[in-house]
Amino acid sequence: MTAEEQIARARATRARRDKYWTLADIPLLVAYCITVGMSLRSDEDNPLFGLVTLSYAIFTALRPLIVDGRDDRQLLRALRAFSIAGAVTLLYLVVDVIRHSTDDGYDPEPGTALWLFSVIWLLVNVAMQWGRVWRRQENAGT
Amino acid sequence: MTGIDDQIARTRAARLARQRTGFLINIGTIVVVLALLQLLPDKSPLIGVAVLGLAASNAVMRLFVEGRDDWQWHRAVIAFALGSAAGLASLLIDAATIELLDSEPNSPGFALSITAAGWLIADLILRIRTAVPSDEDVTA
Repeated sequence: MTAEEQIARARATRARRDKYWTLADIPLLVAYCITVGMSLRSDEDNPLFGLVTLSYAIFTALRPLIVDGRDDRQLLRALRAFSIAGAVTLLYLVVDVIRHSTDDGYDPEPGTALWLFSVIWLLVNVAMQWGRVWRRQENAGT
Repeated sequence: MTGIDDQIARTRAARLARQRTGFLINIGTIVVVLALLQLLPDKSPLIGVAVLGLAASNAVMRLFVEGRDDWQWHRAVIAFALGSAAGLASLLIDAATIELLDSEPNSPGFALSITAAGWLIADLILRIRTAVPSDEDVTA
């Protein structure tokens, strides 16, 4: 097999993975939007919201690893996104602990840190994904 | 011994010395954490902040002791991500037990302590696993 054939086959495999992943992405996105809508309409906290957000964040984190490959660069990128979410959550936890120690009337909601972690992780993953698409288009243009 | 061999040996010796310093700092950090846990009142939420401060200072110290090349940065990110994963697992277990078993939530600062302890332990394990072998180890 020539180098060109190998490249063409790798590109076709990537495009196929991308298509299947996008097909799986659509129902999950719809489920996520429904859960967000339900949470916004309801007065009480919806426990499903945090769980669905975390699932969706894991799904978006897995996408580049499965579609683009699991080389060192991709793994490091995934770790960086996870670490950013971890850092923001840590900041929240530090503020939470200090407020708890100094303010007697402070009553934190359990699950907020989990929700925050999931949302930030999801946002960073989506931003990185769009950044990659944008860069790919830029490279194709030049 | 040629000039290059001499330089390589000197670089290896310097790296080994820095790693030994880093290892001593790790041991010192653990001792300070244990002392703090004894000093602070039981379940004080500030324990988490203290452990986190030590984990952060340990990570910064490590970058200064062992250099700030790409691999060291990667290792720092991996250690932090592992710590965050431990914290996330603790938050998930807490949320699940509240929802399913109707139990009391963990004390404030618990997730913080788990994250910081996970960060410290991951850093220590990565340091031991990726230690550069000494000349004696190489020749043996």
